[in-house]
Amino acid sequence: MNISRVSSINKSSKKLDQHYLNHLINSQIKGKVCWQAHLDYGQELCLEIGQKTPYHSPKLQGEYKGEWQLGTRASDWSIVIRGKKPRFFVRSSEDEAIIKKKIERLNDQKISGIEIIKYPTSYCYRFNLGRYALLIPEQNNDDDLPLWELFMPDHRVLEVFPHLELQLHSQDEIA
Amino acid sequence: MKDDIKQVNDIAKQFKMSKAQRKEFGRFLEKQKEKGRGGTKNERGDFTYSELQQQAKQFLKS
Repeated sequence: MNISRVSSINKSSKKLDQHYLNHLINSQIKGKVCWQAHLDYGQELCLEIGQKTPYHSPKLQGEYKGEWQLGTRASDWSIVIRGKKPRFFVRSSEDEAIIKKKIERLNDQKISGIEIIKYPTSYCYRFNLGRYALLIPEQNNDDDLPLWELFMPDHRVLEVFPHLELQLHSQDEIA
Repeated sequence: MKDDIKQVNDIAKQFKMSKAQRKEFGRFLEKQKEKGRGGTKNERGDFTYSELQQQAKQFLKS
């Protein structure tokens, strides 16, 4: 499976695949701990992963973020309990209070990798977190938002759009 | 929910926030709600567009 990459840092276009995803992310993020799962504004699921670092904004003084930050943006997602027969755990369409309670279980789970699962006509991104797996299926967005994004320690952010379009940007670029 | 995230994105662009700032702005808004300083859009304390503009000004003020 090939994925087109558009990089605003390196303008050259490049093909991506699971191997590149492994090289770019999995080799670095594997084994890191998700120390906090929470909902941000708009009920976006956010995972704080790896070393704790203070927020830059003085308005968030005393608050910490992960050196890796995964956000689901406005996408539908679900979490399953991993195993030979994965069991449903929680999904984005549930009540906010239920989600908040259930995602506490993700705290202190170790990341074991991000995979792209290919179905006959679609894709699904699977984030393996210890006993759990976060699933973000391919879905059509008409709002210009990525399906998910990953803020990385090298000050870049990976944005994943429908149709396997991946973009790498500097975190300093205009939103 | 989707609309709320889209609105935050639009506001971030309007105020020329970086991607890192936009991410922190989303956290800031949720913290405002938790502190009882949410908006009037609904009973959850979400913000109207004009309230988001005011929150953005507050967030960017050092």
